[in-house]
Amino acid sequence: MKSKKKSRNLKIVIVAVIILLIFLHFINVINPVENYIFSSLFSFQGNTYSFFSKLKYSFINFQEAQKLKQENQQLKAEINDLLVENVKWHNFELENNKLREILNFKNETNQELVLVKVIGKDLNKDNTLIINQGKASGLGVGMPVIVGNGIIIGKIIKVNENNAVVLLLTDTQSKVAISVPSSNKTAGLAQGEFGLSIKVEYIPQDLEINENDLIITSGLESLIPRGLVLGKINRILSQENDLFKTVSINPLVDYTELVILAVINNQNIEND
Amino acid sequence: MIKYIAYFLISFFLVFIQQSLFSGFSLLADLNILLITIVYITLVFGFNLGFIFALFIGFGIGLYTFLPFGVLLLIFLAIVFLIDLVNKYILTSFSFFTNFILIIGATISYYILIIVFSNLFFYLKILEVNLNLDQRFLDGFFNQLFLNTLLMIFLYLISKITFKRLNLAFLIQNE
Repeated sequence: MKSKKKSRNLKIVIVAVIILLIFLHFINVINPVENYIFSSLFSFQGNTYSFFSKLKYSFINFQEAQKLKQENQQLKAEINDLLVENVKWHNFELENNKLREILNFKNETNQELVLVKVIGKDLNKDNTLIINQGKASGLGVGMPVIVGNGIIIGKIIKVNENNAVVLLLTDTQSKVAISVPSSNKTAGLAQGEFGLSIKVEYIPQDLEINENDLIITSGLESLIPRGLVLGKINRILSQENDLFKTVSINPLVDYTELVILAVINNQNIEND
Repeated sequence: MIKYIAYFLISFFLVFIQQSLFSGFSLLADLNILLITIVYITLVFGFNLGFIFALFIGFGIGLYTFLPFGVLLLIFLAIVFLIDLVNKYILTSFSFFTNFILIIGATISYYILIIVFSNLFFYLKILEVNLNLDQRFLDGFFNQLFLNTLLMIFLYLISKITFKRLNLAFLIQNE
């Protein structure tokens, strides 16, 4: 009975205190105390909020970073794929252009051409190329090898069953009879110069030639038709009192970048 | 049988690398990995394996040269005999000096034999063209001498470390 009374009293006191506090709040008596308590609480609340916000964001950031990392990796892989594809397409385009040039040459001249690809160089001899066709495709020693619209780059010097060795015109031992477009006669002999350029000797003094004139094959050799372009005259080396003129010519193509070539096979035409 | 097929495939892979990959690079074109392989194998694994590799490599590279088929095979076999002879009677230890001298000797022998055979077949009218014994040829020779020696030294160092780690010192003859 006593404890029940005590409990009721306590409740009354608590309610009274609450009412008193509310009253004091409204008459602004406990404002300094309130301010002090709230300012302390604000700081704690702020820190807590900031901590949990950071935690939340860092979790979101972590998730996003993972996502971005993954995305970045995917994009990088895609870029690499695209680069590879781009190179592939670029190669296809180059190959296509070269094939078109060769096809145009074939249509214009009615020569029998065998398309070949360069597969390497001879380990033991400079200024050579190994091509991927040989006797099986009808190739033979002495046949001219061309690129683009009939630019001769060399002659076959050895033929195996499925490959052949080509000696480039720039080799010292390469010799081709040449002419100029304005003359029907053989006008000289082109010979390689240390793998760098081509020198033409035995040009008659009365033949009018100038720098930048084209030099073409004369057709003197049975397997090499007339009109294949060797290059442009770079320099006239001889003096006026020399017996013959000598000129240096620059090849029209870079011999280090040859990939697709064609071999003119005139043997079949002659045999027919 | 399977190991011989493996040797054959390795040899053709090396020929392929030499012929189509290295030949495209101006500096690496002078590095003769075929010769180095043959010298190294003869030196480390003995005459028999060197002979087999010389046979396969010579056969493979013979298809891609201006020299008549079989000439390079003979040259590689001759080099294996030479290396084995020198390694048996003169430079018997597997040392830096042995490797150094043997690769230089092998490269010089290779060049001499190439020049002899090329000239021989050219004057016998079997070859259409001969080697150009000019400045470029000389440059190529010195480049090859340098690059071959460099790679051989590298292989020697790798072998030393590997053999010691794997306790394969018995592979290094007479050390």
